[in-house]
Amino acid sequence: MSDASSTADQLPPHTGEPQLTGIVKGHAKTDGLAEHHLLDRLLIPASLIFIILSAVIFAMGVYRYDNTYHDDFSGDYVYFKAFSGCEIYLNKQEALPSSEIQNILNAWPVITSDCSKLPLRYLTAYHNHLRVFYLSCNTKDKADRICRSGHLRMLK
Amino acid sequence: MQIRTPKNVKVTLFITTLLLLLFSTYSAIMMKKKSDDKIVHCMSAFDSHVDKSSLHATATLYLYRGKGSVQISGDYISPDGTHYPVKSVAGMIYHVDGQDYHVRFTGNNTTFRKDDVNKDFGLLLPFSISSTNIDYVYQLEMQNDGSYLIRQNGNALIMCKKISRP
Repeated sequence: MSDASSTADQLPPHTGEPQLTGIVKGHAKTDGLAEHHLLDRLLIPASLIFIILSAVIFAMGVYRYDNTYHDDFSGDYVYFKAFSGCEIYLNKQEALPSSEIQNILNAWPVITSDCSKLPLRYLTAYHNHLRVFYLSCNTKDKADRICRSGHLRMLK
Repeated sequence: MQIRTPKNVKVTLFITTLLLLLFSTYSAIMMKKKSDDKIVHCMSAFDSHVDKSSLHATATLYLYRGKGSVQISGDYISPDGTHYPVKSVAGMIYHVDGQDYHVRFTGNNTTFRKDDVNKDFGLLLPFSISSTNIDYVYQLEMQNDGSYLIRQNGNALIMCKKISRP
């Protein structure tokens, strides 16, 4: 805009109508240029905003709607010992002392029943709730496996 | 020294990022649609023991577009060793938030051949189906073979084998 006013100041005093038209045209041209320049300057920030928005929208979509697939559950368990023909695995998150697990296995032979068909036992024992959940599976093959679910509740 | 980016590069970048934004929005919409249309249909064989009572049953879970049911049928074995057939059906409504399924049971119908089985039956189930005004949160984790491991508060409750559609 300052360029446009300085151009007008430099005009001779008696220039007539054609020069005035030129001034108006000059204003329009410089306004257009300024607008164009502004748009040009906004392209990069707008692109950056689009990239951030794309990442946020995609991440929200994956988090809310597409995260149902997980690694195999057996990764949550660690091998404990062989017992009555079964291989016993314990939940890593509910770590009870070995002696307590042994007591549970001794008190509830049903946990290690039918070991010939389903030899793998994945145990989650809750210390406070006096509950045991266990999965009895026939194989470690993640793609083709048969499992039964088991639940014990101890009443005191 | 200021480096000026050529205008055509800026315009190309702008158009590319605009397309990227449209693509990610479209992907998110498709993920939501896929999630809304997902059918969970699975069966679990389970054994439950409380004191000297036990339940040997199969549970069938069906979830689709916010509504579902769980059917349990099997044998209750009383402390004296007598077998009683039991059957239970419970309806539910749910909504999904990521991995969490917020479930509210809408009613259930349980059939026993002996009245006092009812008390033990509630204890033998690893999850409640009789409370109708309570929201429960379960996590359904899909395994490699398409089965669902159903967790509550992160604890594994039941493995539910996917029922394939013919």
